[in-house]
Amino acid sequence: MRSPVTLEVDSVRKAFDVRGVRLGVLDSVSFVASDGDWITVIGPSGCGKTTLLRIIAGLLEPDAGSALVHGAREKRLGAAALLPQSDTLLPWRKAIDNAVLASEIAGVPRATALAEATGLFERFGLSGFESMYPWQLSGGMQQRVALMRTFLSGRSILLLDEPLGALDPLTRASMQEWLLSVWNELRKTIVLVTHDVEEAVVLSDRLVVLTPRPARVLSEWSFEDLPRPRVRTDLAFMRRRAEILGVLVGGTS
Amino acid sequence: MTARRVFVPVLLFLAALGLWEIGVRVFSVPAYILPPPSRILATFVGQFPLLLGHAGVTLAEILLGLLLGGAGGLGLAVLLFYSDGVRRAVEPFVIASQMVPVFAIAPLLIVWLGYGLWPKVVVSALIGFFPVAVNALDGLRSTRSDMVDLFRTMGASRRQTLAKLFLPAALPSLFSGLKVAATLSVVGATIGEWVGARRGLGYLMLQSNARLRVDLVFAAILMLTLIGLSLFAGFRIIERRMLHWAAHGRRFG
Repeated sequence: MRSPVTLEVDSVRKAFDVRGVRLGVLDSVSFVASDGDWITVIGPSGCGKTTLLRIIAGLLEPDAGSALVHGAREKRLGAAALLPQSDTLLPWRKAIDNAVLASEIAGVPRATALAEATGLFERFGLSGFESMYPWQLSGGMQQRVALMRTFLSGRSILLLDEPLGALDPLTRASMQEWLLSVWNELRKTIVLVTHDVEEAVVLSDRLVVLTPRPARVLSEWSFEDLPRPRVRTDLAFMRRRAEILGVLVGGTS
Repeated sequence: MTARRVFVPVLLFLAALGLWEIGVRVFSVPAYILPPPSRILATFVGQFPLLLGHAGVTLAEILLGLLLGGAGGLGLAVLLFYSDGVRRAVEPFVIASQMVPVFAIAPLLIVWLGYGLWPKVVVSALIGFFPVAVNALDGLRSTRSDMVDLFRTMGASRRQTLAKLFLPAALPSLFSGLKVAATLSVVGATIGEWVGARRGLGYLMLQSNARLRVDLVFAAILMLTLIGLSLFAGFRIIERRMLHWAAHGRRFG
């Protein structure tokens, strides 16, 4: 039995005018996510992955097609939590005050928000760093604070734009594992954008592979046959990874 | 390094004073034309209570002018930032107001507001508000757009975005403006007093000049300089405390 659909992207198209030239970014992208699903979107750089997330988040409107969050086309803005690709911690706020930003804006009483966040600091491996400013934290820690802010937003859909892209491979691998365990515990719907096939296979339920710009869905993969935790050196894992890489590089499904 | 940085300018200053002292004595320049630094210092110490009394008045004018000019400048910046209509309507006048020499308005202000504190406060505010407005507007405009998007996805209201994002992001620029305004407001208050006053360092300078007490003129100038330097230093200290985050890593905004 499947959970209800919380996110529906249907034939979304988007183009931008760049210095008078019409630049097609998304041609036709569709996928659905049920409650608690982890969907990963992968594609060549500049293929419009970030634009897709911005459309789902309600920051942009598609030229054609539709994006529905909780079944509604309107009021998408504020329905899903977005973790932008760039570093977006407020430098004048301590780690904990950054973490509670969304709750603060939503009008949650400060004591409640702080109590909730303090509980999560340990879970996010950040206990003892609550009162540090972003510049006092390492890149990995800053990213965890940003992720915590996204998780604490109270939204059930999280849009993560290459959250681990800037980290070194070692930190990245441990963050993936950790992200998975947090997701297992908190059960949110996640749309993750990445350009790392291995990351996609380790983390997600399903994978949407996009073509180069203007993006269409090249193929969609399900990893439900690969039980978690997934081992990178597993034969089935490696075969799946190779297949996806072949499709990405070859451009045909 | 720090000792050396202080040492060189101090040495230069003392050398200049020494040259002045020797020159005045060698060429027997009368004290009502140019008194030697030793005499100015003696007057400064001997007349200190008198100087302090006038300095209090001038300082009050400066601080009130700064407060008024700073608040006005920031308020105008926020208004221009949010409303293109207001900007188009008001901007020419704001710029034109800076072309009007303050000396020309000061006598009018005396006519309108009398000989008391307020015309000086207004002159001081008029000079100070422009750098504050220009810098604050610059700071507001340089807020990163991905942060603005993030606030939108959190469902932040205009007011929340202003208070929690735009204003803090504009603080470094605002302080740059305030430091310029602090030095200018000293000039403003002095001009205001020259045009018509019964108290204050500017008034003291005019009186002393008329009575050929050039040493007292210089002592008053020294006092004004000290006030200006203290104001500048005060802003630097507040800035360092409040904006420690801006000094680390890349600048925000």
